[in-house]
Formats: sequence, structure tokens, C-alpha cells
Amino acid sequence: MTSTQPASQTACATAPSVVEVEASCRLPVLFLSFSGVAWLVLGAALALLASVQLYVPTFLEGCPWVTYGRLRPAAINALTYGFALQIAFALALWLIARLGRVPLTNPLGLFMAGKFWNIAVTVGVYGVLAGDASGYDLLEFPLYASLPLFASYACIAAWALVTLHQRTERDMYVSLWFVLAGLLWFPWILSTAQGLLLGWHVPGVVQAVVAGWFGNNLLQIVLTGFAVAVLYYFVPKAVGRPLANPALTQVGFWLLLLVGGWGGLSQLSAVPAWIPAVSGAANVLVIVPVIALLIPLWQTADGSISDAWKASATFRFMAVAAFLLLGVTVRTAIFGGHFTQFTLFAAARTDIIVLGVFGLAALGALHYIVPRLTTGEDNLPSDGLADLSFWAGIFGMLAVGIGFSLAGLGQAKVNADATKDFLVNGVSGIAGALQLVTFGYGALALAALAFLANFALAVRRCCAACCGGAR
Amino acid sequence: MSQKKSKPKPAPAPAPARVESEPTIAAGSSSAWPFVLLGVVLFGCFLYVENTGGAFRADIYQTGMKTPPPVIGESIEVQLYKEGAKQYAACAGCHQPNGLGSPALNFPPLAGSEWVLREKPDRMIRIMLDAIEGPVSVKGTVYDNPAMVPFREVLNDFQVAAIATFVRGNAEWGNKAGVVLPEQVKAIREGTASRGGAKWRTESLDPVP
Ligand code: HEC
Repeated sequence: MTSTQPASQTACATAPSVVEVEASCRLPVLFLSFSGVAWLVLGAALALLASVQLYVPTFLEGCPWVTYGRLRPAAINALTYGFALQIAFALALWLIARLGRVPLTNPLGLFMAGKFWNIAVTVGVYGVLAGDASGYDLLEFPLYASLPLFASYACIAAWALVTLHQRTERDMYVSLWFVLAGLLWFPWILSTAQGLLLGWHVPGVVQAVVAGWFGNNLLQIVLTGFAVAVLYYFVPKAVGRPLANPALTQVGFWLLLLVGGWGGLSQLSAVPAWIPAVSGAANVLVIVPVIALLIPLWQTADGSISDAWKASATFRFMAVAAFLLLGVTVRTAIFGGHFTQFTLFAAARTDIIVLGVFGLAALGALHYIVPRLTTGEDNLPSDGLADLSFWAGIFGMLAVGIGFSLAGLGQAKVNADATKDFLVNGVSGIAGALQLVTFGYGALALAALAFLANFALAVRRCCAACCGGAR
Repeated sequence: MSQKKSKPKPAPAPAPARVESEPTIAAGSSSAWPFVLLGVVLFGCFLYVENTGGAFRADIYQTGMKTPPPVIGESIEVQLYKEGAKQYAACAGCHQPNGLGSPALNFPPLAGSEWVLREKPDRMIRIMLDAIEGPVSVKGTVYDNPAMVPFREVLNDFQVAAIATFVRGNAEWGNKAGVVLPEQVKAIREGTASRGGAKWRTESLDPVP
């Protein structure tokens, strides 16, 4: 490592080797990755069942556990906490270890905390299905699940931050800014929101504001931030160039933190008018940091995009995730207001950010990380499965995003026009778009399964290599 | 999957070209355009919030409004009657909550009283403002009691109108005379101010319609 680096790095004589760093990552990162993607399978399956009920109301009729009002929150929370945040932890740990050139502190403890996180998510999803949901968007887990969730997060974050503190590479690369911001932002918003909602019991209208504030911060700052961290790590790597225009990156980072948290309340009703007004303005304003963050990536990759697209599965995921980030930001800015209020259009923002912007970037990153931590090769064992995961992921995501958006716009037209018939135009009329959504969730589950199969192949090959097949 | 860190088995599989470099940063100077763009978008945002934000007031819920909408629904009659029902406490001590007075103690009734139920409220307003003394005939009984107190300095125009509306229109007492408006009270209050607060008598009220 030191051989290629100038004097500034050799000063840290203790910088460990990549092998050492990766050895410390192996247990926690692989565990979090595998269970995270497993939650993607389960969450997508639950979301699929819920989406069917939107146009076949009698589907799964008669059993309270699988009514839409429980399935949909169970799915979204499984996807957010089980999949997205869990994978975000895996990526954060890996990025800190790699970019900081430091072995993880307490890998076994991280593994245990990850285990508890999974138990808490399981209890939470079970609680939602059992009818104990709290009723606040993205905070549906009942208290007996959200408290252990927070406790396990605290352990993961604490060890991650200790590791970051011990890094031997003192310069923090862009990705680490976002990782650090996300690791600190998440406990702040989670504890504030849950304290106000479940502890303080704030009255009616304030609940909607608090929950909306939390959901937007989770999506716009934490998950988008982790996605950007991943993009900034892998895009320069895939094209083999240094990151262009770092000054712009810095502007984008601070502006995202500054304005990102204000959005997301533009569709509240029955609140004082200034809240949706300011929030709608923030939804537009956040375009500036997003563009400021995407331009350096574009400049870095410009000219090598088609080569990198062919050469690297990871880069393909990154390119699509970056495109979706721009898309979802513009979409929310333009249509995020009054017109689409109370429609599926608004609900789809969560899906696009969790599964698309973050989800696809994360899947791409895992296609790079998992082989390195298992077989030690550059790619997962099966190219075919990697391709399947990519294409199913892309099409699934597009189908969910487009299907929900079309359905939502259809509903919005009915809401805006008194001459339209609610049942004919607003319910039956959007069934086609919703079938697309069902297909999309199916494809996403398939993408996750393909990755898991590849993962399993890699682990088997690794075990065969290091234990001679004894285990 | 339980590799231990302490067992430094070199990377499990053949690990040749492992010298992977981490991403680096190119030299670059900062540019001002994000701030220019930010300024432009921010300007648009201010306009938007100015136009739709309800002037940052906590009581405006409707996009595009600068002041809260007037409270509609209750007519002035209903408002006066409701207010009068509360303010009637000022009279209830003598004329009783049921408006029947107490003839035994020389307090005349307001329910069914010809002084109250006249088509014009002019006499009643005068009695309320400056009180009445000397013999007064109500429903065939003559009362003579100087106890009635003037309310000129106690109640404002709205309150006098409210009580008068409540007493005159009280269906439970069998009264159904019309509403009294604050403007009527104001006019009489000003018109009789020169009397110096002298109490009315049956004779002095005679010329009043
Ligand atoms: C302190 C006792 C007292 C209070 C309080 C009082 N009154 Fe009287 N009121 C009387 C008495 C006594 C008379 C009879 C005066 C007389 O004999 O000349 C009277 C006479 C009247 C009369 C004319 C006779 C009748 O019964 O129609 C009216 C009208 C009247 N009061 C209205 C009111 C109203 C309205 C109030 C409340 C704002 C009020 N009074 C408060 C004692 C009171």
C-alpha cells in the first residue's frame, strides 16, 4: 500500500494492509449484506401482495393480518429498516474501513448488534402485521420494536465512529463525509421523532408534521446521502480517474444538509399554509445540491461511460442510481405539491428513493464488495446471475416508479375534476398502472434472489477454498 | 463464515493483483455558479412562499390567503341571543332566571311584560340604561320599587342589545319580540345622555313610542 503512496501516508507507519482491513470487515459486512438483501426479498414480496389488493380488493380477503392497511406499512418498513438501512450500515462500515485504511473496531460486536437489529426489524414487521402499528408514516414499528432497534443502531454507529476516529488515512474522502453525516443524522431524527410521537404524545396536526419531517430527512438526507457516498466511491474507481471538481462536491454536500431536511411536508393538509409553502420551496431548492453533486460524477466519468458500462456491473448500477436521483428530485419538485396530494404518486417517492436511488446503488456496491470479501476475486461467481440481478432490478424499479406515478396522476386528475367518476376513473381506470407495480415488485424480488444466489455460490466457493470443504 | 481476525490466514483464494488504489481527488478550483443558481432558485422560492405561505400566520390554512377567512355561520341575531343569555345574569337577581320576577318582593316580571314586548324596544332600552322608579303597571299589577339599578355605565351597547334581544325573543318565557341591535342602543344612549342619568317614570316614558 505504502509503495504507491507519497510521504503523507508513510507517516502513518501503522497503516494496515488491505488484507487485514478486509478480514475485519468480513463477518459484519457479509452478515449485514446478506440479511439486508434477504429483507429486500421479503419486503418486495409483501409490497407485491399489497399492490395486488389495490385492484383486486377481494384478494386475501377475510384475514386481518394481510389487509392492505397492514401489508403496505409492513412492506415499506421491512424495505426501509430491514433492507436499506441495514445495507447502509454494511456499506458505511466497509467504506470507513477501506477509505480510512483501518480494521473495524470490534467486528464481533458489530455482528451481534446487526443480529439484534434484524431481530428488532422482525419483531417490528410482525407487530405491524399483528395490528400494533403506530400509524406514523415510516415510523410504524411499535415501541417494543423501535426501542431495541435504536439500541442496536447505537452500538453499530458507536463502533463505526470509533473506527472512523482510528483511521490511518487522515484525509476524509467525499464518501466519508456522507457516511459520517448519515450516521449522525439518523439517530438525531429517529430519537426526536419517536420522542415527540411516542413519548411526548404531541397533539394531532403536529404528529403529521413530525412524521413527515422524519420521513423526508430519512429519505432525502440519510438514504440519499449513503447513495451519494457509494456513487462517489465507485464511479471514480470504475473509470479509473480521480474525482473531478471536488469544490463543487463540497458545496453540494453542505447545501444538501442545509435544504434537504425542509422538504417533504408540501402535501400535508390541515396545517398552517406556510408549512407546505416552505416545504414545497425546499423541494425545488434541493435540485441545486443534487445537481452540484451529480456534475462532478459526470465530469469524472465523461468519456469513459460506455467503456465502464460494458466492463463493470457495479458501474451500471451506479449510472442508473444517479439517473434516478436526478429523476426523483425533479419529479418531487414539479409534481410534489397540491395536485398529487392524497395519491399514490406521493407514496411512490419512498419506493423510488429506498429501492431505486439507494437500493440500486447499494446492490451495485455489493456486487463489488461481496466477491472481495469471499472468494477474493473481482466479480461474483456467476456473470449470468449478476446480469439477471441488474436487469431485473432496473426494470423492477422502473415498473414500480412509473406504475405508481401514472396511477397517482390518474387519481390526481379525478380529484381535480368533479365531472370524473371516482370509481370508473380513479379506481378501475388505474388498475393497469398498478399491475405494472405488482410486476415491478416481483422483478425486484427476483433481482434480490439472483444476488443472494450469487452470494451463496461465492460463500460456498470460499469455504471450499479455505476449509477444504470441511465445513 | 467465521474467519477470525487473529488467524492471519492470507486471503482465502489466490489474491494476485490486490494493489487496489482508493479513489483520489483531482485538483480543482471552486466555482461560483452553484451559488448563482441557488440565488435564482431561492428568489423563485421566496416569491412562491410569499404568494402561498399565508404570511406565516398560524391561523391561515388555505393556500393563497393572507388573512384568515371571516367566521361565517352564525347570524348576528344568534350571536346577540347567545351573548344575551350569558349577560342576563345581571338581571336574574331581581327578575329571576325564569323572567317571572317575584311579585311578593315587588319585583316585576319580564316574561310577558308589556314594557318588554312593545314593537319598538325604545322604552326597554331606556329602562335598562337609566332604570325606572315610581309606580309601574305590569300585566295588571302595579309595582312601586326604587330598587332597579341603571346599567348605562355597566354594560356596553352590544351587551345591552344582547340582553334585550334575549329577553324579548325568549320563547321559553312566551316572549317573541324582535331583535335589538347595538346601533339602536347607541342612538338612545347618546340621545338620552343629557338627562344626567335621571331614572325614568311611567309618565316620562309615555311619549316614547
Ligand atoms: C336590583 C334589582 C334589579 C335589577 C338588577 C334589575 N331590575 Fe329591572 N326592575 C327592578 C324593579 C324593582 C323594577 C320596578 C321599578 C318600579 O317599580 O318602578 C324593575 C323594572 C324593570 C322593567 C319594567 C317593568 C317590567 O317588568 O317590564 C324592565 C323592562 C326591567 N326592569 C328590565 C331589567 C333588565 C333588562 C335588567 C338587567 C339588565 C334589570 N331590569 C335589572 C329591579 C331590578
